[in-house]
Amino acid sequence: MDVDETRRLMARSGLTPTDTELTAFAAALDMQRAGIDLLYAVPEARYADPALRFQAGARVTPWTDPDPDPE
Amino acid sequence: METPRTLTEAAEALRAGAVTSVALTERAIETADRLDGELGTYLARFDEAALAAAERADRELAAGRDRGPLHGVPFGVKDIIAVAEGPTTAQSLVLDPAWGAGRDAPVAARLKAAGAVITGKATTMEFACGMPDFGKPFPVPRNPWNTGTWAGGSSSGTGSGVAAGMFYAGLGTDTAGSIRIPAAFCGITGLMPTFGRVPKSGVAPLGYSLDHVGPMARSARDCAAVMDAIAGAHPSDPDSVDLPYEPPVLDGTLDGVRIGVVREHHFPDGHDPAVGPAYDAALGVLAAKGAVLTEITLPYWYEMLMANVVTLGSEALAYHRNDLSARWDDYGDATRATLARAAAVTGADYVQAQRVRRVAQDAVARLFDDLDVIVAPTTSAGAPRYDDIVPDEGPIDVGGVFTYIHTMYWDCVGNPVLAAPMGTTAGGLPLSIQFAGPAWGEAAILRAADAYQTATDWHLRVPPTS
Repeated sequence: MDVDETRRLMARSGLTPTDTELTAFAAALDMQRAGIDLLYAVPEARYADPALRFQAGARVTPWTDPDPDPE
Repeated sequence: METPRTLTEAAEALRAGAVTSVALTERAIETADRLDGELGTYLARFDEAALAAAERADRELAAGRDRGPLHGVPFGVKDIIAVAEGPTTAQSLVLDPAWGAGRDAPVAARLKAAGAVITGKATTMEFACGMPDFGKPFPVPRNPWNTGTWAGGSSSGTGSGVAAGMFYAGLGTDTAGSIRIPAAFCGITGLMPTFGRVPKSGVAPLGYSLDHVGPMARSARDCAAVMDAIAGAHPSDPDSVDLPYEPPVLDGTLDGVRIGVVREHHFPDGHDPAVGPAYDAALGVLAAKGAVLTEITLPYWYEMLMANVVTLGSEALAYHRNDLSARWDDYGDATRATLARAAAVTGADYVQAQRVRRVAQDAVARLFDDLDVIVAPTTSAGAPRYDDIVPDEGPIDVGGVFTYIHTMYWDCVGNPVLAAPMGTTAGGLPLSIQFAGPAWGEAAILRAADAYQTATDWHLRVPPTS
């Protein structure tokens, strides 16, 4: 990925790296993409479900609520 | 009397009347007065509150109210975990000071209920994610074994504080190795519990599906004592699991225990020459204790490293994107690099990483059909020098630091892993061995590590600065 493409990619997420950072990111992103593509080359994952699952009926219990733990 | 060396020794001394909690706490404060400026262990100290808690512990123990082995023992907490006595900064300019103000995270509340004397908030890497940043107004955590080297991260202060004697145990968090890395570099013991074993609500998140809260202390026995107090589900953490926590049997034996021995991927080019002999010596100790050793390989090694990068980056960028967009310069270089690179990860990439995690979890679970414990070196070098990891100019090579660190795999599959000291480099820096167990198998790894530590004293050695 070249620096201009990296700059546009970052801008889409509202991120504003310096030119030095962009150069480093551009170099790293090609390697990152190659590593990510490895994940699509795992034959056993072809029909696998993801490790994270949606739970219907889940509720939010703030941790700042009074603690239910007995002392 | 001699100063107790470990949490469990301190607990015994307190009950024998050989020491008071106030005396232990005063000693911890004196040690911090002497060393904290050099080591950068604390972001905030709670001296007055700690002494008050110690006086209370002494009164309760004298009255026969015994809350267990943590009661009256000085304890540090990583500063991404909310504790009512002081603010949580996550070692960042960005975290809203109002977040968690005046409240205890459930895990901190459990420590207090167990009578632990919390002495302060320990340094971390920024949001448990970055690397030391000399340009930001926070202490730079240094290693008590050699202050020119990194204490490891991101639970840096918890590691250096235990090693230097500022507290007997502490809480760390582990998303890619952040309990086990500082434990390894500082020559102490650290336990990453099974994902979901300890509630992580009230802890500033890094990777929602990777974050583990766990103990760091001198010994496996100490970690077991802390686990007794902090394990268990909490309704505020949807990932926490309501399974009974079985305390380990710590009888010093390993008769018939089946241990898988990992070497592949753990001795990269340039590894420290002391690691191989230290690892072989540790394996010899385990065999002499009765364990049956079998050489194995870990399935999907590179895939899990990549899945960790994808998952951690994506989950962290979701949490940070608005702040990162508005306050780029307030973040440290290494944090920016880790988060920004996740902008190139697609939604499909993230889901695919989760699918491969499921496959790898299953493969690891099958390994444990025939094994009780798996061991591997935690790192293949001692703590790196700051001169080598923090360049004078330009961004830090975050990935390069992990060449000699072998922890990320286990965060991705979620199994419990304990890191214990196993020797030193020629220069005297600690080395470490990991004990991994099946999901919910903390008892197995605590037993194995405790047996190892009954035959070795690496975990009891103290750094020259302390």
